[in-house]
Amino acid sequence: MEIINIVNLILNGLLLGGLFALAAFGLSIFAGIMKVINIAHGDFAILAAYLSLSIVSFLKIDPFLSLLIVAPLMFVIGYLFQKFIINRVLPMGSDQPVLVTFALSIVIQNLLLLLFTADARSLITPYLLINIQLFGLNPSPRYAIGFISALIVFAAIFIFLKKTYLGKAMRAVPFDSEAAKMLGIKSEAVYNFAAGLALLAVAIAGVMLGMAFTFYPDTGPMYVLLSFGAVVAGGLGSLKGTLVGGFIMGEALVLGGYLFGSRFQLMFCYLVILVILYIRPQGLFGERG
Amino acid sequence: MLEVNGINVFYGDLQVLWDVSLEVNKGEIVSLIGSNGAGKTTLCKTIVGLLHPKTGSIKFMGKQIDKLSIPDIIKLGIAIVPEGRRLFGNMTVRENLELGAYASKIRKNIDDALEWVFNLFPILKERQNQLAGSMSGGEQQMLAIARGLMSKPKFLILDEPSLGLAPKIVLKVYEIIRKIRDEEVTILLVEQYAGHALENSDKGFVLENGRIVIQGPSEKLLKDERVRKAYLGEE
Repeated sequence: MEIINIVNLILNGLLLGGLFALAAFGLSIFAGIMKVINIAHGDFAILAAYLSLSIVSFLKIDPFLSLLIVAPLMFVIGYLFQKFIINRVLPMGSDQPVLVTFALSIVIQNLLLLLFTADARSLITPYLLINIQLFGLNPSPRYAIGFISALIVFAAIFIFLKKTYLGKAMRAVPFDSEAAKMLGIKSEAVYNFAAGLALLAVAIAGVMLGMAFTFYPDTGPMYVLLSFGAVVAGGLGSLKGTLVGGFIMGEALVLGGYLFGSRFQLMFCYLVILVILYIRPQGLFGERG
Repeated sequence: MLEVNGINVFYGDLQVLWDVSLEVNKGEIVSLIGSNGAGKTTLCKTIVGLLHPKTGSIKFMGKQIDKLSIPDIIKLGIAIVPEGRRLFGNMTVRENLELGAYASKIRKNIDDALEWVFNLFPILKERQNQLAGSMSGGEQQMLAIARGLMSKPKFLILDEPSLGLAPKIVLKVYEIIRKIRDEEVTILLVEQYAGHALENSDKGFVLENGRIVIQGPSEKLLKDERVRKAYLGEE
């Protein structure tokens, strides 16, 4: 195999990794700010993909444009989900929220099955299937849109957390919620917005995933696992870590597929994560303790 | 300015404060002395609205505040510098200060407040982009006090400001406390060790097992036999 082909694999691994990172941001926000493992994360992404699909077929518009409706809608869903479900069970300890999101995962999957049947769906548009030639390389347009969106979403969340009062509160509350409370910062209100923000990112991820791959009502759990890999490898609580974790997942998947065949690529991917966690138990950018 | 009238405070079924009353007048520095577990921090938390008394009342500038939320109490002009500083170590000095103004109207235009605290603590201006967690204990205490001042309070509670600091740094902290009083901020000073607190305050209250057991002008408490034995380390 020629060197150019290897470079091509690495390039597409990077682009795919961007898509994975994008998929993982929402999970990363829930884990880092609310300290909740959102099992329904992937189902929310697939829900966003189906919402986009409905809008695309109803209004006959591009999937990108559907985000103008899907993203704010998912923000509201996230806000209400946190306010009326998660906040209520948070004082019960850390197990209860996980169980609640697990239940919600099943509810969303069945609801999608009921509304859209078990048929394969996709948001792939003709312009995503063109063959791009760039210095002898073939970057996949389907992965590239995810990669670019990941960088934009990452930058937007990063600036939001750094520059706004609400963003700063989102960093302060998980560090010491009682200290924040004594400054008049209500954790629950901060969580509501953080959940909205998380599902906003999930909405963009869901549409990009739908434009890259086919999906079914029960595709969600697969994306939770992939997202989980990126979040854990990068370190809980670090968005930068999630971005890098996504890239590692993408590279591991593509290179694993090349080296060991597609049957073993997912296994290789998680082996890489196990090795990272063995060397750095807190993840690449995670804080110890 | 602050009137605590016979409050009884519980953690669940456990009563921590018993019929506690105290009064702080405008412009005063008032000491609250007590050993570990006497209920000092509970009293602080109740004043700022983190806990609510089962019976009794708390009035601030004539208004009953014991049922208000923390943000509302902050807006009325009360702030707390919690025990152990409780800074956001993962954030910069400046970000910590900005969060000090979170609940107040000052957050819309915090430049005045920032200038005020930078004047009181010039070191913080130099260090404003440094992570709070990377500073020395003394600097962290200064930042904690400065963060408490960012909402421009009329009344500031300092919970154990000298805890864990070297004697030289403690003197510096007290110098700052006197300076803050000169800025027309009334202060409730909570300490385990009574020496510096009583020397720098107008009057004092001693809390034991959740009850106020001694009170009076600070110079009188400094001469009180019981205070000298229990809180000044004299035999």
